Amino acid sequence: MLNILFIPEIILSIGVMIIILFDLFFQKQKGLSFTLVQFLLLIAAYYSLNNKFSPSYSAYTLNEFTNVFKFILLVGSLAIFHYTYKHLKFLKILKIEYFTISLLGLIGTMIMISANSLLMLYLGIELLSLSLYALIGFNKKSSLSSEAAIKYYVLGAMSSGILLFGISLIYGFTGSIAYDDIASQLINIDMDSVDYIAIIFGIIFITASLCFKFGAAPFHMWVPDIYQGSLISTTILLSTLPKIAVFIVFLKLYFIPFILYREVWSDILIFVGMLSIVIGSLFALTQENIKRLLAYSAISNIGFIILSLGLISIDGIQASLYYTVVYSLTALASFGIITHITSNSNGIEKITDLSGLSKTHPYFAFLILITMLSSAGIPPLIGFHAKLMVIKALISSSYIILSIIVVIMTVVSAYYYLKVIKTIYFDNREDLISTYSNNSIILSINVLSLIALGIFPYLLFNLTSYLMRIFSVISI
Amino acid sequence: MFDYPILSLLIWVPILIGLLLILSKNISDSLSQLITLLLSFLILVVSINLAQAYDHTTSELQFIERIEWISGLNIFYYLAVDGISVSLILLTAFINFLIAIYASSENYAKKSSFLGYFLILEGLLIGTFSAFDSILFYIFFESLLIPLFLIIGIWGGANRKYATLKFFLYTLFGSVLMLISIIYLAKISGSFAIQDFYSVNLSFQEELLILLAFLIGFGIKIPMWPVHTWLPDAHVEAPTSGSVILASVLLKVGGYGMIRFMLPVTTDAGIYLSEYMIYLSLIAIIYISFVAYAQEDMKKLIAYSSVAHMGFVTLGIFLVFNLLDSNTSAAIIGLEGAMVQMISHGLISAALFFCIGIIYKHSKSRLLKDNYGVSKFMPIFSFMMIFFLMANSGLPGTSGFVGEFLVITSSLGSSILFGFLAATSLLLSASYSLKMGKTVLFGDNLKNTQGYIECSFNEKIVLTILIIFILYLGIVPDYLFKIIDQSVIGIVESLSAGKI
Repeated sequence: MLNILFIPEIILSIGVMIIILFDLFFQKQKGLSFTLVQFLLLIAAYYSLNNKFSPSYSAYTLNEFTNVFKFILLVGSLAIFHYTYKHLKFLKILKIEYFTISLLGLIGTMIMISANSLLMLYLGIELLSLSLYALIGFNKKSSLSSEAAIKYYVLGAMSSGILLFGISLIYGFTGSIAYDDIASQLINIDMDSVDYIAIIFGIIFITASLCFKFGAAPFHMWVPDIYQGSLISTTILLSTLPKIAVFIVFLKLYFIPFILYREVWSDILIFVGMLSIVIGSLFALTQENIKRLLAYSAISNIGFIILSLGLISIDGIQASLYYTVVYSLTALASFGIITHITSNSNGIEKITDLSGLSKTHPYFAFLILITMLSSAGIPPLIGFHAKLMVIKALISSSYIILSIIVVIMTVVSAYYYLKVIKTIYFDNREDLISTYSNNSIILSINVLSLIALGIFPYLLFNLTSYLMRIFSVISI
Repeated sequence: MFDYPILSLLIWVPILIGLLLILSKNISDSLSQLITLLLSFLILVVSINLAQAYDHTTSELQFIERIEWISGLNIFYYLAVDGISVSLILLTAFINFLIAIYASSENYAKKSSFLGYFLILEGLLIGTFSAFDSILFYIFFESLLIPLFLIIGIWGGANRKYATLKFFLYTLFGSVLMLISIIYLAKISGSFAIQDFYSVNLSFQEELLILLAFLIGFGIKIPMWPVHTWLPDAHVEAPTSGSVILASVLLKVGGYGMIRFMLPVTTDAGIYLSEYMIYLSLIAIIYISFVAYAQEDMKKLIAYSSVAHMGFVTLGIFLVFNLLDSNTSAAIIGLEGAMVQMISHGLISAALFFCIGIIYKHSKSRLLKDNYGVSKFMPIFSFMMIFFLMANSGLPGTSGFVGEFLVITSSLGSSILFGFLAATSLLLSASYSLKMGKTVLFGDNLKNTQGYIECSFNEKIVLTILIIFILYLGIVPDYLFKIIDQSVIGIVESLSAGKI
């Protein structure tokens, strides 16, 4: 047993170098390199659970809470890489660099989770963003891909700038970048002073930048374009890993240093959340491209998470934790299925590419049925319980009107999920549609977990209660 | 009493077998038919056993299964039955058995999954009728949409895509509002158990809003005028068996929900609004009857007739609000009438949709103008169909009469006007039922271009069983009353006690 701090991060960083070197000398042995990547992830996942805790007062914290989320990220990446490998291999653009860059991004997310100072947070976000720029532009043959990469790069750089500006404001008026220091400094600030307003500006800048990274409305413009332009495997990555990490950043940032200013950011988050739900639900209605559709669906799901964070109640935090886990599982499953299906030897782009799938591939059709119904929040699938938790949190905070808007939006969004099901089950078509994998065990487990967790929702509920407990230990 | 969890078995065995039938790749049609037939027969037998073992001298819940499900949220896996649930479970099992018989002589693409979806539907329906935790109820209630959506969408008619989406979104919209009220009630009462909602203290305004949410949620399901428009579309596009289960059992979920939630939880607001709700029901009964008369499509005609007949169910339920203060015994009669009407409509509408399915099989058209003179070529079938049409128009001696008679009697207890308006339905339903009988069965048809052939053995069995039960309930409805009596009296009495 290694007994040093930061084991998973160190293992990953060194492993990435080794894999790059290995791949340089053994270009042909792609399978072997990929096995190395998986092996690396497994070791890191093992050590992430058995990591030593750091002293609580440092720029980089390691505790039970961060460990659990790192574990979730690492295991999730295993599934993502599994889907990606098959997909890239099929499209004949398999390069091991793709995985090494993804791993660097993964390290970025781990830094974001553990960050306990604003600069460390910035470092993590930049590491993640830089690797995402490269991944989005990975499909060099497609002009959409390059467009997406440039768009994301320009907007991402701007949002990083805004984040830095917010950080500098906070630093300037509290004299610290460490979360705990900021918290203790903010107590001393007079409500009537200029400092107070500057801090509020700082918080708003940071919130805007984080909402951009989260893909929440009104900072969502990039999401559909980038989802559409990049490879589906990149889209899976984009819609899961950064979201979890940004969520943890939200949780830590708002509930540790900025908790005193909750009147300020609570309303902002509720507004952003509601706007994302409404925009995500309404704009998805007219989408023809499945990736754009899922992009808008992601926006509305993010809205649910942010909304329940903004409630600042125990129920709300737990609902947002629950929703994040469920959302990641569902996004992983829905994009994962799409990586497995090809239409006329191309990846799936349009929704109509899926038509008639139930006749040719009933099992895959069933898997999509489950994920779509779960996303629509139809019981007994897990998506229902997630939405139930959010609505329950809303109602127990007495936001009845908001809860009515939210449920009406779920009905609206049910329409486009049903449209996908309709295409798969009720439409016919002639030309070729095929799936390229007989070995879809991971996918099956992923999708069937949506049913299993839906029938035994207390499993996830207990997990989130446990996370709540350990989170409250570190935040108080 | 049973030493095994009978309700859970009734729910989960059909669901699991149904899932297996859907997911199994190489299962022959005949094997899946055999499985479905045996299983649905078994379920029927078990539910008859349940009804026999049910102690009908009390309104207490029986066969209780209560396990903590999500501990932090106080949600329980809580199953139980009272008389109302038992009668509806019996109806579900019975209709599903008939569907299994009927479907085994039909040809469908991918028959095993077709039958599988019906088994799942059966399990979910029994779950809906026996869930006593509101979230569990909601889960079953909502999951019902999935199999029916697929049944209509995959095996339905030409315009099925529009119909399925409309049906799904309509009912989803209603039920999410209901979900909000459930959560709100749970927030106040601190528990999700339905019975704990009964003793909740609500302000009048809260009660009014919750009543409206329930009214929309269950009213869409029933469906009440003016939110009924999804039903004709769904019926027209659904395959025969889909129409049967939709009309005979799924609509009853709405009525059941009203009795279970609306009556006891929002009594005061209900009393306040009862007059308006009664008018809604009367509009459904009278106006929709005229609409039904104007239909050219047989399925639409029966679909509208379903809306009109379900108007009696809602009328009976809302009369309870109206009569609670003045005339408790009339209120009890009204609620019993609503229950009998639900069961009876379950049998009659099922029979009529089977009949239309049989005619459609030969003529490939559901329009009245394309079908005439059936009686010449299908005499036995025509005899049965005219019997069902008579029952549909509420002929004394059939079950259709009992429910309507009770509801009309009860409405006379409230006001002469209500009684009079409700009673016009006997005339109106006779007019559209007989119009259909006249054109379809007794029109002039020498050529038989439609290719009518006397119905097959399976179909005869299904229709004969239905005739027997419609007559049985019409002549000696005692058994049904015995099951529902105490529960109905219990509900009404607890309501009037709560009022004082």
